[in-house]
Amino acid sequence: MPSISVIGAVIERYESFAISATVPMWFHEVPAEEDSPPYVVLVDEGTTPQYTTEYEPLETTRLRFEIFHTSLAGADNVVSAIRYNAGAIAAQLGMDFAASLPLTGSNFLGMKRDREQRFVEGPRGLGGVPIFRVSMSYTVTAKRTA
Amino acid sequence: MPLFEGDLQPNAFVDVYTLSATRDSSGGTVEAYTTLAASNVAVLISQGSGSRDGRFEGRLNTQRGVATGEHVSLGSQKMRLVVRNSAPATVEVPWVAGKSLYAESISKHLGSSTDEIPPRYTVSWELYEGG
Repeated sequence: MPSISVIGAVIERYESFAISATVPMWFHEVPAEEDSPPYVVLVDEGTTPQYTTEYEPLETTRLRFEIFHTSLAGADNVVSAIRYNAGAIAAQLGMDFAASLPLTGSNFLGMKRDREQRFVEGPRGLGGVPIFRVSMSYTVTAKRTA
Repeated sequence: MPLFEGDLQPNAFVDVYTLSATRDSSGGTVEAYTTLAASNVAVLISQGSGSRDGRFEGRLNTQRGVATGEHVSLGSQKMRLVVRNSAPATVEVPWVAGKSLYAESISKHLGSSTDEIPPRYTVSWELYEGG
């Protein structure tokens, strides 16, 4: 079902990827019922409207995927799946240069990756092992229509 | 005077494993506790507490506590404790029985023979209760 927000549309698009069957995505916080990593947390960094035309602003939304995993190699596999969804770059199957987003009330114009960074978390995971985090920032552009 | 000679008795026996670190194909560190440094080490697990500390942007609980014992393996910097899944742990501290306790900090107490204070180690541990 199309979403009225970019965040909802991105989650819906992610849930169509094969990786979502084993690595779930949550908005901002993972509920206590969920297992330990791997999972992805989607963070909203805000939407900025530009009123270049009256009533129908161009909206730029910045968002961030935080990928948590028990190994860096595993995290990189998730990163790759988010970028390209196991397809060629030009196929636009992933989030990089996404072909579409299930949005209602605005026309999707584009999605691009701005930044990527890898970390080891301070606290330890199950069994005392390190948990790795990859932070990926994206910008989504859409034109408001309703 | 040994720590567990009098009224004070251990409430768990643990196996002590030490760390081996390698790298995966992305360059990330792989930490594995594969070397058994000591088995059946008597400890007293005490001062349990828990918190949902928000680690990994989640809300899973983390248990914390202290394990006190005499064995020299408890003083190792690179150690992890695995609680034996048998009595007395299953009776006295059942929530950690069979679990791996990650050592957050290690204290070494010299003791005093004249005051009958036994030398011992206290390990502050934590247990992330992920599924």
